[in-house]
Amino acid sequence: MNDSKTSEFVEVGTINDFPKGNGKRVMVDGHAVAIFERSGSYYAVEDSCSHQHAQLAHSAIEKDGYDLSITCPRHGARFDLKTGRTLSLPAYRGIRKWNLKIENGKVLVDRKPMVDAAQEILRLEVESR
Amino acid sequence: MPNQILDLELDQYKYGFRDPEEYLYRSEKGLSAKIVEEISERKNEPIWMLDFRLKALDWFNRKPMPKWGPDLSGVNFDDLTYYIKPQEHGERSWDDVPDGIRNTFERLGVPEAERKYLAGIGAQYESEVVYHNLKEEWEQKGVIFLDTDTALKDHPDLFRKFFSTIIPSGDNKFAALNSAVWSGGSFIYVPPGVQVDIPLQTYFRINAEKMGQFERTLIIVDEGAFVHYVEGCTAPTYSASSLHSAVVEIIALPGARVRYTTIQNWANNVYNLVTKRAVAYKDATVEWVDCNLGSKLTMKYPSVYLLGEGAHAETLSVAYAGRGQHTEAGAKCIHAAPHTTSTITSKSISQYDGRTSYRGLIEILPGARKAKSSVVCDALILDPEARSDTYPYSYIDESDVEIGHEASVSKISDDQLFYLMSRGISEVEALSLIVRGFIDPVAKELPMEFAVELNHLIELQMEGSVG
Amino acid sequence: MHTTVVKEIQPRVYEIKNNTGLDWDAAAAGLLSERLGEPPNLRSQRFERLHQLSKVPTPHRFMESWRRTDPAIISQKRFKLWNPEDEILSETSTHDSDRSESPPVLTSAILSLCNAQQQSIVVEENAEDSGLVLASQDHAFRTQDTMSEFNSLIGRDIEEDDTPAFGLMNAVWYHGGYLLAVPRGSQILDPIWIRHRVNTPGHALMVQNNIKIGSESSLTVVIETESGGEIENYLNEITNIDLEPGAELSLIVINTGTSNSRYYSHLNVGQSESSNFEITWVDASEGWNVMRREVNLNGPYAEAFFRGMRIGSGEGSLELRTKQNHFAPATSSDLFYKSALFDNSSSIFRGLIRVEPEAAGTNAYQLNRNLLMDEGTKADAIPNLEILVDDVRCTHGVSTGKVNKDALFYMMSRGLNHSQAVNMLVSGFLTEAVDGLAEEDLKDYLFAKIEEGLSKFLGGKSVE
Repeated sequence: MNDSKTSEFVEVGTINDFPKGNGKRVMVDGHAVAIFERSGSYYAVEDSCSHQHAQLAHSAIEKDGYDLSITCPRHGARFDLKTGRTLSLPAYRGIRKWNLKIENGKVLVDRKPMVDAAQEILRLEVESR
Repeated sequence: MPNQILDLELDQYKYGFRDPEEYLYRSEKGLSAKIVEEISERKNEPIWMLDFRLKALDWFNRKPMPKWGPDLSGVNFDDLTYYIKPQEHGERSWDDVPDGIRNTFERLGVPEAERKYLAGIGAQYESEVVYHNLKEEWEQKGVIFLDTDTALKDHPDLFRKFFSTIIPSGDNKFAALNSAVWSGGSFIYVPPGVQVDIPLQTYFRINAEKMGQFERTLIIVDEGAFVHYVEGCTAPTYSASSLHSAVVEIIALPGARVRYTTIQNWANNVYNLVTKRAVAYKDATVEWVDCNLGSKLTMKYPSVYLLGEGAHAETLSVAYAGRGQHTEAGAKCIHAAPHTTSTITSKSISQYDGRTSYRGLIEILPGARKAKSSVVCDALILDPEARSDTYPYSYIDESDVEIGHEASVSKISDDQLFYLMSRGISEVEALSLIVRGFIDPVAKELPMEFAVELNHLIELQMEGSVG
Repeated sequence: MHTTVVKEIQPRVYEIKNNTGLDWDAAAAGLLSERLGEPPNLRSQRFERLHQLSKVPTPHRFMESWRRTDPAIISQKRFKLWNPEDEILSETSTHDSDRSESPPVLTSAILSLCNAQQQSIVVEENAEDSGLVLASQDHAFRTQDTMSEFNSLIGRDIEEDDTPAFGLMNAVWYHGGYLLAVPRGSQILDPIWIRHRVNTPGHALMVQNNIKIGSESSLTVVIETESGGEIENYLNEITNIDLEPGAELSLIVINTGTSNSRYYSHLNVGQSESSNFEITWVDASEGWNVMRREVNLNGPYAEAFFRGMRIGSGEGSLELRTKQNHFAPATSSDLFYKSALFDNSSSIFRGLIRVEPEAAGTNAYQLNRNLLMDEGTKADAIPNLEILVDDVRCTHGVSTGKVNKDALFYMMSRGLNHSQAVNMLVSGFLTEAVDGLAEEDLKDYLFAKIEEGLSKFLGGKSVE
């Protein structure tokens, strides 16, 4: 888990640098990170599909109720934008997620990624039983 | 050469009768957003499904044709009909099924099979399931066995949760096509712990000339449950090429076991380009039993993603290719968890200028300790012009594993034939016996009536050839 | 006892000074050609190939065939070409240590090369009398005495399926190599020994070798290649082999390389009627290796045998790509490849048996076994079959796993300690691959190489 005491945020740009409703790649400590904006909220996930490493920053954001997802442009694997969890094969694992905050119009990303989703396999279960 | 004297007609299509075409609705040829919207509207689908179909159409338009493997240049997407609906609703009783359709099934022997053994039959005629008969017993246990269109209406939440999670539209060009225009197929849900010990079955046929058939099957087997699903296909012969492109998704939850059996006997002008994939969670087992006879070109690689510890995958396949046919059948197993195991047994027979190919993949991902995989591919070549290929890929990223692969290619030896003939067996019978013996490891895994049908199909062809 | 030496050229010892290198361009191709003293037709052929090279795709790791070995490692961007002008003769021997060590068996000839240039050559009298031709290319072109033998071979097109780029690069910028020919009807009993030391720090070296065995002649050739030094170097080597009807060639290949060695090797054999080709190899390179070994059985009754073993260590990777192409009836081929992998080493085997419609009565086999000794090791196998005729007997098999626990337990119950038992199992596993070699003394030499390669892993391990 990410310990806030050890968090160290770095600036990756101002909110004007990130197009509304879209994604854009930035580098954080040598990692390619895709920053997405949707309705005023920002999300930072690994810019590499866990299936065959295609870039994700150009994915369209899809909304379903409260859930937001992105779809890999190569084979259609889907990821939960808020958690990085995988939602469909062929990505059997999720992608890393970074904590992000906005301060005075600046977009700040935690240097340390959260790897939980990247280690979690596709979760499918029947809920109502 | 004995087999030249005999001129075996293994590839003659004997189920090639046809009914006059009578349909309620038939879409225009070619594929467009308008057709997709019409299909969705006629089916009265929720808006999310229309949205899903349109996005899939976009994928289909953007995705290139596969460049590897068999020749797909004969597939003409503009010359196909994408939707045909034979009648209004799925029928529950055999007597309600229209005569024309019933006659087709009578000729295929479905009712006999039913009378003899079967608990449930879903018969798919053209694009939709027209006939469903599910034993009350299973309904009481909460088993859902419906055509996929009805399942979308009756179980919207369950459906949406699992639909397209195993095979997304963008997976490949043909999965995208299916996602855009799918119609019919089976939906199965088996609740935790329920053992469905008599197979669930669907027969279906392609009938209209140049029509595409795009079933969509989704099977969810809950924890500790078991089901055996059987799909049998026969189709009449036509001159114009037809396209069949199904998508089958299976989810085997922890401790579940699912077996999916196919006997495919498409007419020799059908392109059969199918995406079949399953996931197996902790201690779950997925078994594909796949018998491929007929079609102009088949490309089919049933896959299992072993995602939970102790999950097991088993694939058994028989492929036959005769005149002008190319059958490319294979299997894939992706080991993503420790102690996962997989076995693949492939038997293929090629005759005349027919070509069979095995194309398979074993992937062992880092951390899948103690994974075991064993692959055996055997090919029989009956004529000098026939061809057999074996393309087994294995990518192993873990050191604590046991991997084995074996393959052999051979012809029927004259010694074997002479031995049998010296025992008073005719050449035809001798050949038939050898071929049967060759496919026996797979045939014996079929339900009895299907093993009989498979052998019967082969014998039918042999009889006809020698007259 | 050795017979009288009739031809001995004084050893030339090279010292490597600061190499500025050559760019991958037409000027470099011209310079290399001129330096070898090539005839104009071969020079213009280099320029044709350069034109072809500009039209083929650059291999990259998103191609299925390069999925497991990154071809960017030997990209033209990472290396300049080795400039022979920068190599100077030195009075003091700096790296000719292997010269002091004579081969373990009687030889008909010994050729030592350094960076594709001839260092020394010794040819025994009876081999010379039999008409043996052995020279480095630079020497042969200068003396003009052996060229006619190789006209059909030098610069020959090599088919390279999806990625012709590496073969074309070699054809444009080859630097030299050796020529070996035996006329028809000669039996040279003792092996020819070729030693090639390659160290071109930070640079790429393209080498082309040609071997031609005349009708009804037989020959054994041992090739020892040692590559790499302190700094990354790239060796691209193509070996063309032609066997005339009834010719027999047994090739023994020993490859060692440091972790800095980048070695792309392509061996292409054309076989006429009733010819017999055998290759036996021991590979212990710690570097990056892609080895293509292809036989074309063009005449009836031709036979080819591949027997190889590999000890993988460090970060070493070796991708072996083999082709057994059967074009004629009643041909046979057999491949047996074993690897034992330690540390973080990896092995990739891509094999193809292709039997054409004309090749009825063919037998073809392929077997690959891998032992994964350490946690970081991995082994991929893609053994393909394409069979276009019915009258064949064709099998392949692959197995990958760890040391058999039952066998280990059995041996320890017989009084061996753990490391002795492992040592015995692994060396037994590997030596089986080269056991089929007929020459006993050479086999012993290879066994010793295997033991030597294994000793650093198994010898030192304490009893557990």
